[in-house]
Amino acid sequence: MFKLFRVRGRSMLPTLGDGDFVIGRRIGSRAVRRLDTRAIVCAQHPHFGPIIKRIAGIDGDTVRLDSDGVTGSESSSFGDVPIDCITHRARLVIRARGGLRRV
Amino acid sequence: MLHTLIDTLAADQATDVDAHCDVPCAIYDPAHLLIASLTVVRMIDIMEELEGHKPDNPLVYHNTMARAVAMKEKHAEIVKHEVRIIWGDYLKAPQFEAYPNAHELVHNIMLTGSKAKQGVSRDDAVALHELCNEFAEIFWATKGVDTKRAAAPYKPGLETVYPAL
Repeated sequence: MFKLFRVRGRSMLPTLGDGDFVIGRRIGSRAVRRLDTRAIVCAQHPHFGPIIKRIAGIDGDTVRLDSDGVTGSESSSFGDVPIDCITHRARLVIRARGGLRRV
Repeated sequence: MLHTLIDTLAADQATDVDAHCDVPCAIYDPAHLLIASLTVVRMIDIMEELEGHKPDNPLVYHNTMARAVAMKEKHAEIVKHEVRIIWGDYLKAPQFEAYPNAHELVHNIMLTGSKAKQGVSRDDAVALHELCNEFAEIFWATKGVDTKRAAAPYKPGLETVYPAL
């Protein structure tokens, strides 16, 4: 149910930094629909592989993902991903520079 | 401390998730860096031609020379930037395993790019272009695309790597 992830990249700063560990909880598409639109999720992107992003919006069976940091990709670059691409919701961050944080 | 503990004991259990730092358009092409390295050589040629045939008006001389110097430095920096993007964002472990000299090649491009940027040696600029050719060949090989070498169809007309599409 829970899975350990390691963040690569800095597009989710300041929430997530490069090298941070994230504990994510498995989530199904039905539960994704009930998420706040600002939840951080791990997704298996059809083109870019496993990514971690914040949900910017949910429209039917598609989810729009966005970055927190100014260096991140624009959500339009990812396009709308199918809702079943969302695999986990980030719940806890273990920061590389120290400290824990719930998300 | 907790991060260190996890990193030590459970890092191999972690799944890497990308938080992309650049727009992941997946469009990479060494054409930019090759045009830039050709430009560095061309700017040095223009500087030498100008020095050999100084115009009567000193303002014209200084203006053209200043522009050539500025463009030489700008394009040497473009070479370094474009190589860094492909090396840092596109090349991954499987490519580095297949082309173990890639790191050293990139480092040589950085060093030679700086020399070409700082100086006026045509040999350095040509060496930079040849390193860029080698880099382009590796890049296209990772894509499974054959390459050919042909003289660039404009001055300085140096041999340049192109995808054989």
